[in-house]
Amino acid sequence: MAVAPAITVLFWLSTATLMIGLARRARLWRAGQRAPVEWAGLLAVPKRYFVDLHHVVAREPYIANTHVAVAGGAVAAILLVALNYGLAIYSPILDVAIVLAALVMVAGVFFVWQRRRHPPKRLSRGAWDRLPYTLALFAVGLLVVIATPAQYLSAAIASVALFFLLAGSAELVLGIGFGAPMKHAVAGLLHLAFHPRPERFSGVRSTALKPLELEKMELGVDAPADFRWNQLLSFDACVQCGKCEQSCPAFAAGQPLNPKKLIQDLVCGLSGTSDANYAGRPYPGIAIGAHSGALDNPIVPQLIEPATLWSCTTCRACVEECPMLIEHVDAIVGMRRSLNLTRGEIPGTAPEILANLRETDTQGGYPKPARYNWSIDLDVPQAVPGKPFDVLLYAGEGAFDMRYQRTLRALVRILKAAKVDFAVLGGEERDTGDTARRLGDEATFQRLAKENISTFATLKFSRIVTADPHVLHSLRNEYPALGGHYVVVHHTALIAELMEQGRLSTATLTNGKPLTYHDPCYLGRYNGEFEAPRAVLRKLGATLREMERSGPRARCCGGGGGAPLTDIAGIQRIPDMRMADVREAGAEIVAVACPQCTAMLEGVAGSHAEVLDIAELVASALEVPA
Amino acid sequence: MGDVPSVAALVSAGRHPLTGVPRACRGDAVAMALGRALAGEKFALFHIGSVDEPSLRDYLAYGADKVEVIPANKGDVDINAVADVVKNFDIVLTGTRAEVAAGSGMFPYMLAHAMACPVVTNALDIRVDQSDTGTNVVISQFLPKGQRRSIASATPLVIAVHPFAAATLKYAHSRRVSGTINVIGSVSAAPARQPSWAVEAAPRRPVRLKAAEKQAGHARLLSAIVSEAKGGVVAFEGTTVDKAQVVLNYLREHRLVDF
Amino acid sequence: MNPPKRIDPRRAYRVGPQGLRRIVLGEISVNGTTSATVEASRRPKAKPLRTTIQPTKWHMVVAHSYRGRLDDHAREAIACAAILAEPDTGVLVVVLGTFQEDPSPLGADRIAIVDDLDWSRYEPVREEALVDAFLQDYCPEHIFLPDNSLGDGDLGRRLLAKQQSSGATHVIEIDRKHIAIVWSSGNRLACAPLPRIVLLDPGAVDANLPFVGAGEKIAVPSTGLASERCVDLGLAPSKPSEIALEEADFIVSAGNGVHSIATLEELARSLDAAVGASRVAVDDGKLPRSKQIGASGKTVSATTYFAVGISGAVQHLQGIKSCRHVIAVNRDPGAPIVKRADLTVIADAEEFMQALITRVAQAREQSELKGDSNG
Repeated sequence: MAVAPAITVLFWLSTATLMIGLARRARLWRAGQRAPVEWAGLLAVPKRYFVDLHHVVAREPYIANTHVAVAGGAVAAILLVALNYGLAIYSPILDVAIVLAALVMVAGVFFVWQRRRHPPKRLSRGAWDRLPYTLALFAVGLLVVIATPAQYLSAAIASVALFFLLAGSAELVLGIGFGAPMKHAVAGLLHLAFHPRPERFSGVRSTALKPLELEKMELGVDAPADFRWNQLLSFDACVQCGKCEQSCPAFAAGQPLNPKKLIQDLVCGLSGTSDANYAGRPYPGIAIGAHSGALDNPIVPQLIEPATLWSCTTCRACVEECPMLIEHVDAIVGMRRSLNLTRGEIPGTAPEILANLRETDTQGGYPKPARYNWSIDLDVPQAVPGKPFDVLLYAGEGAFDMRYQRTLRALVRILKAAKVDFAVLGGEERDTGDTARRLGDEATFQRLAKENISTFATLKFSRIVTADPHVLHSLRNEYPALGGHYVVVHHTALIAELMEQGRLSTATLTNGKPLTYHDPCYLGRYNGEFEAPRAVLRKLGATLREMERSGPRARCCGGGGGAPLTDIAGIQRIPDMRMADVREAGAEIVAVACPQCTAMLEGVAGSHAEVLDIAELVASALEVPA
Repeated sequence: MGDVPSVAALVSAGRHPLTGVPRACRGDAVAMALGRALAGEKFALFHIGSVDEPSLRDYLAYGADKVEVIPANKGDVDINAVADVVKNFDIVLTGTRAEVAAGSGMFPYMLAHAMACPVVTNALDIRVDQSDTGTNVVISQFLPKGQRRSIASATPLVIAVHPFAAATLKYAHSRRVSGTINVIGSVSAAPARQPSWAVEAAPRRPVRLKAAEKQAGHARLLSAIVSEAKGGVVAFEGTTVDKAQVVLNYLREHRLVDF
Repeated sequence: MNPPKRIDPRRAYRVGPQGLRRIVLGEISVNGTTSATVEASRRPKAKPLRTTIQPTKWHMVVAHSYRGRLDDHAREAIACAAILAEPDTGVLVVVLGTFQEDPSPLGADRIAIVDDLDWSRYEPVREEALVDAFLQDYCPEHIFLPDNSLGDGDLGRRLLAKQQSSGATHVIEIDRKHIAIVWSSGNRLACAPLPRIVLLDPGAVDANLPFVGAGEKIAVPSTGLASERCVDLGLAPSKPSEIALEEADFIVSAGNGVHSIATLEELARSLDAAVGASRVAVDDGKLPRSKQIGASGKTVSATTYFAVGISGAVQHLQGIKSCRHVIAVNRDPGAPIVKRADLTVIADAEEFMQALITRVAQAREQSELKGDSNG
């Protein structure tokens, strides 16, 4: 019996089905807003897949290898089938290659099945649980059809094998059209091609939010169709692996946020369905099945509760972990923008803080000149137009906090000890607008940014130094889009540089207490600065006891993204969990480098490790020349 | 449901006390929010002053669809003319105190006087009951120490809203941009009834009025000793009952309790 | 021959706040007993009358009493009238509500007590009629009222709107010639000549007087029946513990040292106080976030702030900057709150709260008995 033509028919049928499905899905994506498209991205897919994506997946070797086997085997087999049967070559040599590929796939599928027997809680179940079986059907069907010598291939066996192959192919090709698990393969590859942040693939940490064109009444995401089309596409790429859920500090604290569920909800919104079929862990405290969406329906609250969006600390831990390189934080801020700009619905004390920013240019409603009250006895030079200086010290909102003023005083001592030519803006300094932006108040952010940029324009300096990573991030990464280009360094980087140049003489820390370093999200994940703070601590003779979650995977302190202002209740508090990490590392001092982290970690109830900024540690070890 | 009363709110130009940045006067914005909740479609927002007043956009952002501006020069306006504009409304709302100039809190009283209708101030909440005898407005009034009074009144009436009134203000940028500001009528100036204030150039603290006291040196020294007793007393000794007595004595001495 | 002059080491002294003895100048101990002289020095000397001239002109003060007393704000208004009065000017005080105290130390020369126009009632038309009656009888040169929300600020503005005479509200600075108010809620003042009707902000006048008034009680003129246009439906019962922190005048606040919130709430109830909390107590889930006081919570301006088991982190102290009296209960005498507090009790929070609740209950009972016998 000639099965070969049957395979040819099946192949073309599958291909056609896939294309129809893709066209249907693409119609949904195209409901999104326009986005610049680089078709060259399609050519870059293999590199992006094998380098950038695999770099993330490889953090867990078991599933990385399994996926290589399953996907590699499947793709190879399908390509070979396309060649040999699709083009009706029917070469026995190619058949051997197909068999080899199918065997690799079977091996991979075995490991998928193994894992699915006792899956980690972060994995979604439901339709995903059938994958090992349907993929096995495909591989086995292909094997039987192709590898069995014709004389042994009875009609019965052939038809069973073809049925297997048909069932397996159905899983592969129908996924995209029906939103089943295998849509991740097609959507994932397209997502890599048309990623909203293509610069991520050139080794840049792309973390700046994109400015809204407020004059064109671009006011954030109200309905799914308000996302850019490639964002909608990116949601479809999600494989529900739950890496984001595992790393999310809000989820761990029992706040109603689960990044994986959020992306799945957006998929529901995109495809106009309810979340009833979602088979992963829910948003803590919010039942599954009560929410649904449609492309043009408002997302909040029909699809996603506002508390979910306001729980996010914008720490980017989810983005860091996502093997599909999905940008959760962009989606959350996009929806926050709409809530803020069109409805003004923001919980907690955030409305008050935003009003303060509008009316006083400070978060606390203070008079601007009071920002440098702490420096009154330190003889800090004030920046004057027409008088060039080297470094502009930008204190940020932390300058109003009496605790953080200690850090700033320490920093000024260090700058003076190293004879740095610096100055401050004094009463001219406004908030950077970072908090307003994370809370979705793009109008206030842009106003503050433009006013700051015009203040900077009157001065001549070579770079800006700040002890606040949030200030660092907005000045360095987000002001350029509004026309402000500056060299911005974090105080730890400047101190490291000064030490390197021998401009600071420090003794080793005397008390010898075990010490750990907490990476601020906006310094580490947002700006890739992991080394400078550690270099400084090493120079001080400290032996770092790293926490389990440190560096790029560091756990947030809970202070970012305006989360302390919106203050969504959970079961426990994020800083408490972080302090537990500190305790587990056996540290008695936790070195920090951010005013938010300082405030959050110091606010932990009960006895805990001492919270000291790196500037304070350095200042305490300064050797004053006699 | 009976008829919804018509409500007008008169709002002033607000300024942040520290920075002078134009903003919706807090108390007035709350009055506006209460009025909107009360009257829905039958609500109108008025401002007497300049159509270019920058703070008016803030009222739009806080929820008003439009602001009707009655052009008037700075300073005193003819209150009777203002009364004419709002005389057809059942309820006229104002804030308690303007943020600019003297902020005397006199406006609702003068308006009520000109309209010959009652005025209720420090309103926290307004409820409207429709009955056979007409519209009955029930106002919850702010009193110190967390106490509340209910007052009923017929319409028309003027209500000055307390800044603590339970109204959530939602600021939305899109409304700020899309709302409209219209000019209607005009109000003539009237002779000033407020004292003519001379504003000082430099900030200073007010001087407390103190009775002139002729004291012997001895008495002054005595009072110097007495005044030392203020501040930073720490009670270590004695039983908890004694310590409770120390606290009670302190509270009584400074008239902080009324028993 | 006289014996040589010696300084008696046991001469009269009083104990200062640091526990140091302070000798009392000019006093000499008699029979070696110091107590008598100390008592004598503590006893206030009888103050002279402000004036002995029969008044021909009048300053009038109208103020509501609160639970049978005049608060500091009302006393300041009376003191203001007395200080600004010429020797031939008398001070007439109209107290709306019950008042049992001796009016002379307040500086009142004549006092009319209108028992049935209590602060808790709302009868604006009758109040106006009554004041009108006094205005006709006395034709006061100046009228002073405390600018409060107890009813006096309202009454004063009604008078101003009706009288068409010159007047000013929210007066923060006053002397014989001029008044000043805060301009545009900022930090600059604006001045004007002293008008006829003055509504005083709290703190504009020092209520301590070196003299007393004649304190003569006079009858209340009858005003006839007034028809009110607004109907007073009465006071709504309110629980002090539910008062918003921003408007609370007395706050009892819980920190880490408080284990039983129920006890704390009972203490707050017994003191008619609102309940607040430090950030730590809120983070611990003892009280809701809306109760948090401090830099990241609410900034309060209560007259009395009672910090129980709060160590006083700087952020917390930022939130209570404008509280006039801070009383702290803490186990640790080195806690930062001790430096801020006007009175600190070093004790275990739970035990102390219980003791204070009992003591306050007793004191209330006694004062009620006393009040009954007076009235």
